Amino acid sequence: MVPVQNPLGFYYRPDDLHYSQADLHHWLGVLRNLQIHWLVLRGSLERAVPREFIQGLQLAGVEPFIHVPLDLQSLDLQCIESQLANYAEWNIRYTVFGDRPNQRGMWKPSEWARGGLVDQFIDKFLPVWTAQARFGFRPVFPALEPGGDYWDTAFLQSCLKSLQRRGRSDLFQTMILATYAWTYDRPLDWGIGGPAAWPESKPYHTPQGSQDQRGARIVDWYASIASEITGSALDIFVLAGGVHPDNRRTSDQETQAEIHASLARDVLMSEYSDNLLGFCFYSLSAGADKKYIGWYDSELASSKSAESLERLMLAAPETKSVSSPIKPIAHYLLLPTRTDLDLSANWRGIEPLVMALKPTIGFSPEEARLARQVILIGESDAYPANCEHELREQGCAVRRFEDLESDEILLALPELTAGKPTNTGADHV
Amino acid sequence: MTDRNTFFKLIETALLANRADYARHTASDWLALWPGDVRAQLLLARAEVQLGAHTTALERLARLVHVDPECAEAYGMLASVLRTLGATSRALIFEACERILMGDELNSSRHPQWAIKLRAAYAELRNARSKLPLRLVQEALAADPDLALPYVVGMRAQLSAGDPQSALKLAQVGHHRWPECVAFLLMLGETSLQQGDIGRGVEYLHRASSLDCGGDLSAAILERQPEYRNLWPEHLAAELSRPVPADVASLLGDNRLVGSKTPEASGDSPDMVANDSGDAGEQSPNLLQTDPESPLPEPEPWEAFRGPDPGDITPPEMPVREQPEALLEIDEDLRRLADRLNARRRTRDEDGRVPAYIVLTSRSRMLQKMGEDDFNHIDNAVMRLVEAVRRRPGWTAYRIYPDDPSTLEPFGLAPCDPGNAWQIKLRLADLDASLAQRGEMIGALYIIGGNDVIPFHRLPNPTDDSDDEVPSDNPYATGDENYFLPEWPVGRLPLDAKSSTLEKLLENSIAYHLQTGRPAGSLHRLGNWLRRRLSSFFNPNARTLGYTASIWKKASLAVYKSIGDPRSMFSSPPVEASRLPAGAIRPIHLSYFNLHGLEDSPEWYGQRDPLRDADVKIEFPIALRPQDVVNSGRAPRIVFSEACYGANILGKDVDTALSLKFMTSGTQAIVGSTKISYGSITPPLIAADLLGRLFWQNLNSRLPVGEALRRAKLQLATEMHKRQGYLDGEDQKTLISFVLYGDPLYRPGLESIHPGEKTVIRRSSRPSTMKTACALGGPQIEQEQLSATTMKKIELILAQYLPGMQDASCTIHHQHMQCDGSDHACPTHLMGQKNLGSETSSLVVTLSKSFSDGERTHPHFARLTLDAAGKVMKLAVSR
Repeated sequence: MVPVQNPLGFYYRPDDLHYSQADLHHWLGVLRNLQIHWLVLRGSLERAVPREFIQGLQLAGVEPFIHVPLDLQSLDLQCIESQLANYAEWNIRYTVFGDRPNQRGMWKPSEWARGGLVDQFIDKFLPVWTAQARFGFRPVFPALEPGGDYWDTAFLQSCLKSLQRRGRSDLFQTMILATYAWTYDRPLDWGIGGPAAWPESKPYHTPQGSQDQRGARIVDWYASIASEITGSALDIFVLAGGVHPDNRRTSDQETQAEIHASLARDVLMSEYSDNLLGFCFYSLSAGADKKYIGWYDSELASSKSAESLERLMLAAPETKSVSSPIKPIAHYLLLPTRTDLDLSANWRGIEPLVMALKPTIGFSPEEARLARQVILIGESDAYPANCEHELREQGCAVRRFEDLESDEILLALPELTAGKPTNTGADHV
Repeated sequence: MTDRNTFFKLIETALLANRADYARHTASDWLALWPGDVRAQLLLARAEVQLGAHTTALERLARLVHVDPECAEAYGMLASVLRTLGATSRALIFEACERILMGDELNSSRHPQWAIKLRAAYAELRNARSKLPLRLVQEALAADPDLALPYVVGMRAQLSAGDPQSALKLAQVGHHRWPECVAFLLMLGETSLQQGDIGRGVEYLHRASSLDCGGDLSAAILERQPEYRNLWPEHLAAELSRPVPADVASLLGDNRLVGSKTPEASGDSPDMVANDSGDAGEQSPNLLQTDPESPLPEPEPWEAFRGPDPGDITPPEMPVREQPEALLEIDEDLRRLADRLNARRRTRDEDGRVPAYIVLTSRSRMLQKMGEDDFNHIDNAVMRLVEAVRRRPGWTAYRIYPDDPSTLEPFGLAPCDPGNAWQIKLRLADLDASLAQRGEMIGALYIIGGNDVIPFHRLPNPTDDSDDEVPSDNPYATGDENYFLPEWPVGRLPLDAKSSTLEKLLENSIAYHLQTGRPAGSLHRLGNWLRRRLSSFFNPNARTLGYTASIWKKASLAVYKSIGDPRSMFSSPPVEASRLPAGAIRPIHLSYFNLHGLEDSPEWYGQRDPLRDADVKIEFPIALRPQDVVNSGRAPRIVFSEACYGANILGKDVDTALSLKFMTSGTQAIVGSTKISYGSITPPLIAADLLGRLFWQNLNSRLPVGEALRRAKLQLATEMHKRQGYLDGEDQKTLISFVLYGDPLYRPGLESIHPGEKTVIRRSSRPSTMKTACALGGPQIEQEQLSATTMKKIELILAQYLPGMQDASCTIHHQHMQCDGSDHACPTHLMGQKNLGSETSSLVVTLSKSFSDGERTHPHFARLTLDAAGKVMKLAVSR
C-alpha cells in the first residue's frame, strides 16, 4: 500500500540565516518527533538555501518547499532561473517566488497607482512560472494576503482569467496556489464552503451574519475560484497558517494550543479540500529579531501548541502518515564489494545498462538507500549480508542481474527505463 | 520626498509669482510619478496656458474633462484657450459646461439648447429635488454633444430617481465612449461587486484609483466605503527635481536660505544652494518641509513679503517669452521626463490601449516545411519570444497561428486557411477587435516565415511597368481595407528553409528583448546618456554606409545625410563589388543602398552618370553581390535598400537574394521593395528616396524599425497629398512594395526601454480611404496629340537627366481620381472609386527601355507627370 502523505508541515523560520549543519541537527529531532512531511524554507535571490541542509531534510523524509519572497520591484528572471537550475539538480520539487502581491506595500507606489495591476503582475510572473515548468517544477502562484489591499479573491480571479486570456491555460494543469490560512481569532470553520455558501460576502464588505475567506477555510474559497475559472481544482498549499503571528503574543497559550491541535486534526482527517497539498504552521522557530513567537525556542523548549501537536501525532496513529524518505537518486548501480570479483571482466555486460539509465554508480549500500531503484549485479553473496533486504526495507526497488553474460540486462532495459521496477518497493509519492 | 500638499502649494505659488515655467517643471515632476492626479493635471494646464502653450494645454484639458466631466475649472480654461485659438463656437460649448457646473445662467441665444436643459437638470440634481426632470437630461443626451457630462448628470439623476438599472446602462455606454471617466468606473466597479463579478469590480475600482490617485473625484465613495481606500495609493510624495526659485520662495514666505548662516543650509549640498545674486537665487526644496508648528522665521532686513502684484515693482519677467532658448530647454527636459516617467503628453486621438506584440505564423505550413521536431523548436522559440516581449514595460504579446484553434480560442476566433492572405488579414482585424475588449490592441506584428508560410498579399500594380502584381505585407498592418496607411508596424522573418537558421534568428530577437526589456539601472542610463551626448564628438558617422548608383548621387546624398557624412558615401561607378573599399566592409550599424536591382539576379548594380563618368565604359557595374555580405559582426544592423526587387524573396534563397543574405549574416532589419521601385534623380525627394529619408529620420528619433517604417509611409502619404492632392502610381507602389524583414520592435543599440516610453503609437481615428489617382487603362494618348512645346520639354528633361532614355518606348495616359477598372486592376478601382471621370487634368508619360550589358538585361522605366499646361510636375525613375 502506498503510504498516505502527511500534509502537515512547518514554516521553518521567518529569515534565511539558519541553514548550517548545526541548525539541521538541532531541528531534525523535532521534525522526526512531529512526523511532519513539509518544511517551508525561506530563501532569497541573493543566495540559495544550502544543498547540505536540503539533503539532510530529504534523508529524514522531510519535503522542503522553498519560499523566496522576492521584491516585486526588482524581479530578476536570470537570477531566478539560476536558482531553479540549482534546486532542480538538488531534487527540490517545490519552489514559490513572491509574496502577497495584492498588498500595496509590495509595489512601488507609482506602479500600484498605475492601471492594470493584475496584468502588470502577470507580466512579471508569467516568465517565472514558465521557468519553473521548464526546470521541472510545478508553477506556484504566490500566497496573497487574505483580504488585502487589492482584495485577494478578486486578484486571484483576475489573474487566472488573465492567464487564460493569454492562452496559458496549460499552466493550470500543474499550478499550485500557495496561500496563508490564518485564523484571525475566528472559529476554525469560518468561511467554510467558500463563496457558494456565503454569497452575500463581497470584496471589502462582509455583511453581519455572513462570513468570508479570511480564516482557516480560505482553501475552500480559492478552490472554488480556481475551479470556476479553470474547470478543474488546482492544488493548494498553505504556506503558513494557524494563529496569526501578530496574535500569538497576545492570546493565551492554552487557547492557541487548542486551536492548532484542532486545525491539525482537521487537516489530518481530510476535512479540508481534497486538493490541499500541505498545511504548514508558522513558524517552527522564531526569527532572529524575536518579533514573533516560534513553536519552539532556540533551546528546543516546546510551546504549548507544539506539545499538543506532539501529543496528537502520538495519540492518533491511525491518522498519521508514514513519511517515506525523499529519494533524490533515481537509479543506483551498487557494485559488489567482494575483492575476489573481477569487475573489469564484467564491465561490458553492464555497459548497456549504464548507458541507458545513467545511474549513480558506487559501492556504498548507505548511499544506495537514497535511490528509488537499486541495481545489483552478481550473486547475493557478492554483497554484505542482508544488504538487499535492508534496501527493500528502506523503500528501494531492487533489481538483481546475476548473469551478466546473458541478454537479461538487454531484455530488462525497456522496463527499467520506463521506470517500472518489478520488485516492489515503497513508491515515493 | 515632498508631499502632495506641499507640491501643490508650490505650484500655485509659482503661478502667482508669474513663474509658470517653474510651475510647469514642478507639476511635471509630480505627474511623472503620479500621472493620474487630476488636480496636478489642472495645475499643469494652468501653467501651460500662462506659458502660451495653448495646444498642449488644450490636449491636456480635453483629456481632463474626460476623466472628470464635472471639473468646471477645466471647462473654463478650455473655453478660454479655444477663444485664444479662434475656435469661438467650440469655446461656447465648454463655457456652457462651466456655467452648468457653476450654476450660472446660460444665454439661449449664445449657448446650445441641450446645455440649457442640462443646466436645469443639474440644478435640480444639486438641490436634491425629489422629482427630477429626467426628460431634460434625456434631451441633452439625445443632442449627443460628444461630452461625458450629460451622461454623468444622467447617471446621477437616475440614481437619485431610484433607478439604478438605468443609471448603470448610462454608465456602461459612457464608459464605452470615455473609458477614462472616473465616475463611470466607480459606478461600474460597485455594481460589478454587487453582482458578484468580483474580479472585474475590483479592477474597475483600481482603475479609478489609478486615474484619480489623489482621491479627489472618489471622495464620496471612499467616505461611504472606507475599505476601498486600500486600493488608492497612500503617502503620495515625489522628489522636486529643481530648487525653488527665490521669487517663488519669497512669496511662500519662508525664504531663509540666503540669509541662513547655518552650516546645514550653506555647505552640504552646493548644487541646491542658491547664490545670493537675487533673482537667480534658488532654495533647497528640503526647506519647504518646515515643521508647521515651528515658529516663523525672522525676516531678514531686506526681505519683505510680496503679494501677487504689490504694484511697486516691475513684475518678474517671463523668461519664456524673452528667452526662447530657455523654453526650448524646458521643453526638452519635459519631453525627456515624460519619456522616462510615463508622463508623455498624449496626442488628441492617440489610442490609449495596451499594445500587443503579435507573432504570426502557420502551424500546418511550418509542419509541412520542417517536420514536427523542428517545428516544436520553432514553436518553443516563438513562445520564448512572446514571453520576452511581455517583459517589456507596457507591452503584452501573443502568438497567433491562424490554423491552430488553441492559439485563437482565447480571442474567440475561428481558424482559417493559412494560404489565404485575406482570410489571415480578417483574422487580424478580428483579433484587434477582441483585444479591444480587454483594453489591448495590436501594437506590432511579426510574421514568421516566408511566402510559403504566411503568403504576401498580391496587390494590383498601380503603375504601368512590367510588374503584374505587388507582393506586400501592408494589408496585414491594417484592420480595414485602406492598406496604404498602416495602423501598426509589421515585420517578417522570411527564412523558413532551415529551421536552425530561423531558430537562431528568433533567439537573437529573444535576447534583444530580454536585454532591452529589463529595467536599466541608473548607472546604465547614465552610460547611455553619455554615449548619446558624447558620440557626436567622436566621428559620429563612423558606423554608417551609404552606397549609391552614380547617376542618383544627388538624391542619395539628400537621404544619406540623415545618418552619415555625405562625403563618406560611395558611388558606383567607380566602386564595384570586386573592389569594395575598406570603408564599405568595416562593421556597420546603418546601411543605405540606392542601387539597381533585377528580378532574376542576386546582385545590385550601379549606373554610370553620363556627365560625371564619361570615361567609364560599363553602364551598370556590379556594385554588391551576396558573397560581399559577410558576418563576423560586420553585417550592418539595419539596411534600407531602394533597389528594385531589393526585398524580393519569391523563389529565392540566401545565395540568390541579397536581402536573405543580409538576414542570415546578422542584419537585424532590412527594408526593401518586393518589386520595381521608383525614386528621384535630384531633390525634391519622392517615392523610395523620400521614404528612405523619413525612415532614417524616424530611426534617429529612437523609434523601432517597424514603427520608423510605418510612420515614414504615413509621412510620405501626407507629404504627397500635400504636394499633389492625391497619391499617384509611384507613391502607391512605394507604400505597398516596401516591406520590413526583421523584428518590428528592433531598434539599434541595447538601451533599455524606459518605463512608460511609448515606441509605437496608434491613432484612434484614421481615414478609411485615400485619394488615389490611376493612370492605367482608358484610351492611350498618342505622342502626336501632345503639343510641340510639351514634347520639347520632355525631350529637354530626358536629355538632361536621362540621356539613355531618349529613344525609349512611350505610353501616355490621363491620370484620373476615379476608375472603373474595366481593362485593368488598380487600387483606385478596388478601393471603390469606380466612376470614370474626375480627371486630374494631368498626364502620365511612361518611358520604358531595356539595356543589355551582355549577360543581363536591365529594364528601365521613367514616369513623367505633366500638368494641363504641359509642365513636368514630377519625374520618377525606376531603381
